[in-house]
Amino acid sequence: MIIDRNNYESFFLDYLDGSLPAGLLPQLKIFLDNNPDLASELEELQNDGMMSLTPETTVFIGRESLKKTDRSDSRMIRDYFDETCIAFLEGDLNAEEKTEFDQLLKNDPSKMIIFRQFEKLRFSPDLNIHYPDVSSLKKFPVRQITTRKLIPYFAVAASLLLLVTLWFILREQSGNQKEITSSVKHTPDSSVNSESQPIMNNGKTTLLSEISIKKKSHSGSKRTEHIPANIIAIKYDVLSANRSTENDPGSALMPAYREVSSMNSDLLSVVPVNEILTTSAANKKETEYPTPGKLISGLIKKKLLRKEEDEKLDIWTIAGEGVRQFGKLTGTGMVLTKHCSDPDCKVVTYALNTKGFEISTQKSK
Amino acid sequence: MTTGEFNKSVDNYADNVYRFILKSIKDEDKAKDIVQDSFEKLWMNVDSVSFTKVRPYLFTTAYHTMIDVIRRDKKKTDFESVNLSAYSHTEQYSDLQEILNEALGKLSEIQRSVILLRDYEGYSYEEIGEITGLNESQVKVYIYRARLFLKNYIVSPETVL
Repeated sequence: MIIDRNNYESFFLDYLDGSLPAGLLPQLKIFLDNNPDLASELEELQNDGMMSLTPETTVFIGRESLKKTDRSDSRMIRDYFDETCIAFLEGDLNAEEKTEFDQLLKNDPSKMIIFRQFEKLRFSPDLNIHYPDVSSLKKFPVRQITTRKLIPYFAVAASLLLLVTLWFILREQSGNQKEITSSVKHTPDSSVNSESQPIMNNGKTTLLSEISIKKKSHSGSKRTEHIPANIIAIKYDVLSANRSTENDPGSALMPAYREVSSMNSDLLSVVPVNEILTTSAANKKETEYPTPGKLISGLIKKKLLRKEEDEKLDIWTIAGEGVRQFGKLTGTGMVLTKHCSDPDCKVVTYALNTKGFEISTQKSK
Repeated sequence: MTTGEFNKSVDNYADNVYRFILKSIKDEDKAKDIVQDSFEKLWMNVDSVSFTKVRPYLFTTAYHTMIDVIRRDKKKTDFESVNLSAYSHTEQYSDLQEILNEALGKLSEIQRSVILLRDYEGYSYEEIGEITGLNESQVKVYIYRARLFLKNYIVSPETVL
């Protein structure tokens, strides 16, 4: 590399540092001879010593305070005795520090007194304090079950209800009356009044004013009930009989079963009218017989559910009554409930409640 | 955690949490509310909290609820501004526990809490840190300062001890 006026600074610095290669010294000498102004500049740099700085003598006064002392140092334990006491009691000292601390306490009774004070600063829980109502914090699982899972319960309830109903029917049939005879009292035409009922008997209109029923109680004593015709549930049989006779004037009254218990609870629930009224075999097929299903349904409504005959009877009502009766018998207070969960009754909650537990489910309509 | 485990947690920890809170805020009704609150929160997260973590969960929840209640009631005491000597007393006490309880009431909430968690429940610095949201060093510092405060509160040990 050739030294010229554009790059001489680096050669000068190397020369002053003593790091200029020996092979370049002759070239530098020739350059200085040809450039006396730069030769004097190099001479100034050499003489003034501008290339080196004198070290400062300023010191940090708090230097000693920054130094760390080994914790196991006896001086540390003595100077920070309170903290060491706490550390000892908190279990923060290692084995070596503990030994040293023990030694210090043994040698200095005054420090032992202070240490004892720290020892007594620990708190212990008052075991007599209890949360007042722990059981209120506990939770009990609520089983969400589907309608399908309720089916067995419904089945059991329905079965129970059926049994209870049959039991009611059988008890009433074999209960109060052992022997029943009935007779119809005809009133003469002249004594026709508003309470008399027209019936057809062998094509002739007869006014029925009263039905007498002989009843025999459990004790064996007989008594006769006189039931005014307008009170008896004659409306069903007689009116139907009238209708049929209008269609077929030659026909007579048909046998029918008539339920009179709704009029008088002391009476038998079913009275065989064919023993009272003359019948005609020709009209039998036109008679409107209450089927056993209707009879049972009616009994269930009246006797058990206390509902009107025309009210609709659904499975939920029957099951609910069955479960209620079962709960009553077993003393579990078991009931089925159904209520709307929203104002529009789009979601219905079905629940089985007992004294011990409750299960419920919701169903959207 | 199952419902059975939850109820077991009630049996195991309801009293402990109640004592801790009652000692901290000295208000039975609020302490009861906080305990109930804590267990309700636990119940809401019963699926995500394991049975082994119930204890710190309950204490953490109770602690934070308590801090919220204290802040709401504006009854906070700033320990840093307390002049230790100002709480030195000259009365004669026969019961050290009585003095300590009084001194405990002079501590800041955080110091009182860490001390109670340490002494009542025997929690480690790390566990206390998890409960209070502090790091281990901070917990240690609070405990040391609280202990020193308590010791200095009993300024005449020969008359007290």
